[in-house]
This record gives sequence, C-alpha cells and structure tokens, in this order.
Amino acid sequence: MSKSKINLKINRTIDSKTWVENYELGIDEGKSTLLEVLLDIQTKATPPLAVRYGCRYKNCGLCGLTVNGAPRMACMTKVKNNMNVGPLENLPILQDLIVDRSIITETIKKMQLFPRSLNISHSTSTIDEKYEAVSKCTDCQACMSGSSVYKQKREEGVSGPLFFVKLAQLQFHPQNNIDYRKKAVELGVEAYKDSPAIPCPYGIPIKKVAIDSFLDS
Amino acid sequence: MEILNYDLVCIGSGVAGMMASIVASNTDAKVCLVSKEPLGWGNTRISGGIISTIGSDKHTLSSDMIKSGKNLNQTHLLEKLLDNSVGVHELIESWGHLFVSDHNMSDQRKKIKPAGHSEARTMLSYQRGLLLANTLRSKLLDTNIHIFEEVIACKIILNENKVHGVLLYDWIKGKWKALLTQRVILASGGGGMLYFPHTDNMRSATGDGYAIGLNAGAHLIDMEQIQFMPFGITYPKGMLGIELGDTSAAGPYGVLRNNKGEIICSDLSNKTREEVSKTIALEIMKGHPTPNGGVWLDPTANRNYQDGEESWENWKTIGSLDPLKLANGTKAYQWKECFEVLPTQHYIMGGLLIDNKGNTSVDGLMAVGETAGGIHGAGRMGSMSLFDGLVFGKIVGNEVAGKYESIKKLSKDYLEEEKDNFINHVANQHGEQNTIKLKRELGHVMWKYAGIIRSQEMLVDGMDLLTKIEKKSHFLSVNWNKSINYQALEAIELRFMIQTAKSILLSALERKESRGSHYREDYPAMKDSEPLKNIVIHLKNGNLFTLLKGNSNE
Repeated sequence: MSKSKINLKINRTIDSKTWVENYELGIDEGKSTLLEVLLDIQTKATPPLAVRYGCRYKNCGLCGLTVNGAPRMACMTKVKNNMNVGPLENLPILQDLIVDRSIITETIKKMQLFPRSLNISHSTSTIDEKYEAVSKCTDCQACMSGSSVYKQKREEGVSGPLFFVKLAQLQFHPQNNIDYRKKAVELGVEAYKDSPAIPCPYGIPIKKVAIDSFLDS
Repeated sequence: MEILNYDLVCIGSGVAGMMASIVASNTDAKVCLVSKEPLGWGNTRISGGIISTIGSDKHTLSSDMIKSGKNLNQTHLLEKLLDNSVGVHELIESWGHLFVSDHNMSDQRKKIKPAGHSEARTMLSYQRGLLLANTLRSKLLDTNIHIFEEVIACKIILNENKVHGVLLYDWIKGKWKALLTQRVILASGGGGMLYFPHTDNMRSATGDGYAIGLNAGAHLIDMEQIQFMPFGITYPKGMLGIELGDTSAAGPYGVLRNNKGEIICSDLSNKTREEVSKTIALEIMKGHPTPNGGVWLDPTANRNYQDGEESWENWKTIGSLDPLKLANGTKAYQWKECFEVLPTQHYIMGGLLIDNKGNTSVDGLMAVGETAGGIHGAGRMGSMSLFDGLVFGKIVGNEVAGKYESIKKLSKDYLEEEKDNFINHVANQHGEQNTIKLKRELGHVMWKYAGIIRSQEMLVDGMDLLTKIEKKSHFLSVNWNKSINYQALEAIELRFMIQTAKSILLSALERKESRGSHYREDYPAMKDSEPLKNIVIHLKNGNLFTLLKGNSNE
C-alpha cells in the first residue's frame, strides 16, 4: 500500500470563533478512512478537535459531516488530498464537527412519531419494500444537511427530511392501521413537492418513498 | 446547580436501561433516564440484534450457559433470568419490533443456533439492533419518562450509606445537576473502549457504570472475564477491531491459516469464541502474524459446497460481510480469497455484583445488563446479551415500580461539596495532558498486557504502566464552566476507564488459572481440583482490594 502525504482542511468552531485549519497528514492511499485521520488529528490538535463518532463502521450514524459541502459518513469515506471537511449544514454547530442532535428526540416526542394502534395479529412475514428502505435510517442527519428545501424553509417551521423518513417507518410498518398523511401535512410535506432528490448515505430514496408517498392522491 | 427530585433515575439508554425505565414507568412514578450520548445510542443499536428464547426447555438453555460460562455463572441470577423470560419477545413486538420470519412457516419466527447453543432457539431482529433500539426509543418517548440526553452521570450521592441521588454533568450546557432520588439503576453498558482500537464497541462504552458503582461502595465480580470476538478487521487502521462475526461467520468450511499458509484451526463454527480467539492470539505470539498482525481466515472452500454457499448468502443478507467489502475488497467479501482477522474485544462478563432483583450491596443502587456481572460466567453465548438486557431490565423495572419512598432533602452545600469532590477526583492538578492521547495509551496497555493472553509478569507490567497513565491523568486542562465541553466529557470518561482497567488487572492477577475468556500462560489449566471462587473487587479509602467468594455451583 502506498503511503502519501495529503492536505486536509477542517472548518473549526470553538465557542463563537470559526476558522479553517490546514492539516498535513500521512495516509495509506485509497485505504485510510476520513474517520481514521480525524481520530489521529484528535491526539495532536490544539485546541482539541471535537468529532462525534460511535461504531466506526456504518451502523450508528453518528459521524455525519460534510466533505466539500456534501454530506458524508466519515467512517465510509476514503480520505483524499485537499478535502474540505466541515460539520453537517442546516443544524446548530456545537463544536468543530459536532452538530446538535436534540431536535431528533424533541421532534419525535412533540409530533408523536411513534407507533399507534398496531394490528398485532397481522402477519409480519411479508415486509413491504418501502418499509425495507426506510427502516435502514440511522438518524445520521445527512438528509437535513443536503436538502435544499430544508435549507430554505426550515426557518418557516418545515420539518427536516429525517422526520418524513420516521413517519414513513410508521406508515409502512407491516402492522400499521393508520394513515399518517395528515401528520405529514403538519410536518410540512407540501414544501418538498418539487424537491430534488435528497441525499442519503444509506441509499434510502427519501424523496420517492418518504415524501412522494405522502403527497399522492 | 440545578436540583431535581425523582422516584427513580436510570443511567443508560441501551436495551437494559430503556426496558427497565419503560416497565418502571407503568405506574405514576416520576422516572428519569440519563444518557450521555443521544437517546438510544449504545451498543444495542449497533448489535446484530439476535435475541435468544428459552427454546425447548429452560434446563437445556441453563446448562448451555453454564457450559459456556465454565461454571463461573451466578446460578441464582441465571434461574431468575430464565424464569422471567416468557413473553418478552411478544412484548417488544407489540411495541412495533419485528423478527425475521421463517420462510417455510410464515407465522413462525426464524430461529438460528449461534455457537454454544445446543439447539436453534435464537430469533433475528429485522434490521439488526437498529430496529430494537428504535422500537425501545419510540416506546420510551411515548411515556412520561423525563429524559436527559448528552448528560453524563458522575457519581452516586450517598447519605448514611443509602442512595440519595446522582450527580450529573451536562457537557453541552457546561452545567451540573443533582437528581435527588432513593433509587438509581446503573445500565450504562460495558467498556470496550478500554481496549481501543481493538474493540467492536461504541465510543461511549467506557466502563462508567463499573466505576460509578465502585465509588458508591458496590462490588465488582469476575472482571477478568473479557470476551473477545474471534474475527475482527486488521486493516485499514480506522477499521481495526470492527467485528466480522462469531466463529460461525467463517461458514462450515472456513479454516484459519498462519503466515505460512498452514491450517491452525478448522471446524470453526463448532468452537466457542474463547477457543478460537485464544488459538489466534497464541499463533501470533509464536511469531507467525500476517502482514497486518493477524491470521488468515480462508473461507474459499465454502463456495464449493451448497451449505457453504447458503452460509455466505445468509451472512450477506444479515449484513455482517459489508465491512469486508470496504476493508478488503470485493473478492474477500465474496469469500473468493483469504482475508486477515484479529480478535476484538466484544463484551465484559464481569460487572457489578447483584442479587436476583438487581440490587447491589448499596441500599438503593441497582445494576442491569452488561453493567451487572455474573450471569454469563466466564463466557457468554451469542444472542444472550440482548436477552439478558430485556429480561433483567423487565425484572428490575418491575421490582422498583411502586416501591418509591419520599426523598430526604439534602442541603445545597452538601451537594456543592459532592460536586467539588468529584471535580477533584477527575483532575486535581491543572496541566496540559491530552485526554484523548491518555485514553489511547490506556487502550494500548490493556490490549497488550491484559488482552487474550495473560501472565503474572504481563499483568504486573500492565499495572505499572496504568499507574503512570493515572499519574499523568491528574494533569488535565478542564474548564468545567464552559458550555459545549467535549473535553470535560472525555476527562470524566478517562477517570472511569482507569478505575475499571485497574479492576480488570487486579482480578486477572488474582485468578491463577485459565477459565473461559481468561487465559493465563503461566497457569494454562483450569483448576478443577480446588473449590471454585468468584473474584470480588471493592474500593476502600481510595484503594482497590480483591476478595474471594465461594461459587454457588459447587
């Protein structure tokens, strides 16, 4: 494996101070993940670099960030020369690459996005492909960062794409008895009517399954 | 400092903590759940989501567990577990959880047989642990349980040797909180980060519950029993330690080879995690490691047989082959070439000593899940930890529900003093030590000196190195009054990690035999001639002591 030197720019934020810091690093070309180099930087950087992560491979959804402006998972991204790394967008930055996540619990609780009136006797042996798609969501918030509609309309109270995915998880659950289209309207689904495709590191077709399903009819 | 009153406080939002809180809240009690990560982001979420059932009868399961645990299990806990498990799967299904169905009988759940089980009795969660964590989170948010997210529990507030509350630090707001309560459940999971990067655990698994319990006066049991999953990734560095699976993940025809290509282990799926991990570690120690420090797993023969093909399809569907694709490429992912593997820390069988209602020796303090010890003895079978977390979570939740006592008020000065003592305990000297660097040093020491293979000499050396890290760890730069205080969170965790690591080293020194997950090269045999003992650790005047406890199995 060839070792090479690369430059990495990181958008840093501590308290209200923001700046771009350049790091020169040795990597294994084509192999090293972005999370790997960020964890390395953590042992050296002053002031210390704040990075949120959990499982180091795909399952937990905590290491979402932006690379050259596009949302990515640090653990699944191979590091390349001259990448510009920043926190996820459209979310409050807490420190460096860590963004606020409290909106997730708060919105689920406030909008009551949990299963109601499941038909337990209904078989779960056939699972709808829509449910299969949306149940992969790890709440990584990449869709919040990458949605142009959310960027424009979030100030008006339109919910982030993540919450339509949560709603679709309820709608397409094999034992669900309820139509959640009214709830989708409350969350502001109409705003996404002409939205371009919304990025998802897990490949969930968010616009098609979690938005358009609530707009039909 | 904010002071709040509750009937019950639960620390941790994995399977055990969420289950216990949900069950305990089925009364009009004031329940609070504290999670240092976002709600539901423990190891449960990233687990394989496999959950055992009782199977054909509880005695068979019990004997499988004792066989796997090499007799070290606390049998009274095991009996309680098995007697209370009926209906737990259906309960979570009624909350929206889904298990994979059997293809042949669609009204039945598919059952698999992980290593150590004598029959296929384990159910598979749809979407692995992710759906389980989400289901429990939804149910939890559908109750009136008060939630503190990204707030770390620091210490139990005691008065006259009884629990009177718990001190918390909100690292986002940079503020302290005292929750006054007569009952606290510690459900903060395990401590894989003690072996970082040689672990498949979440970053948050820093052994908090063990240290919080010790500091409150509770005892730890059999902390030397650390489980290593045999197959973890070796390279690239950022993925080192990520789990590739159990012994059965090699397929029926997979073999292990050393750097000369010689077969060092076959019939893998019929061997335990402990046996295979030890075989790999010994081979590496002999000086035959592969380029990235592991051994070769050769799965290629599987592709020549129908059951081998089926096994590959199965693992592919479950998703456990995915990391291979990124780390080793498509051919390894397809089992068409060998790939390197190295064991990785997976679970701590030791933990807080509890009775069969989850009580520690401290009045009002309970423990459940991986934080509690003793159920799995010297080796845990696959699919038993989520089972344990769900069932014991339910037991402990039921146990506390409705048994709430009124809270004695503690003065603000008393609570402020508790806080000052804790700050002093975490870092009493101002200095410029890098907290994360010290954590990494600790991980290196534990892997090298208290990993799969141990000896008196290694453990003593490990303790010396740990003491050096501990000395440095008092010189940290922590500003406690700052908001968004990631540094403070790391510093608190480091303190917990050091105490837990010391407990592991002490227990490992004390157990002068090899049993289950604990292998001493200076005492390679299991001492069955002597009475079986459990090793108990307690803290007195700031020092850790060991004592031996007769095991009820004898």
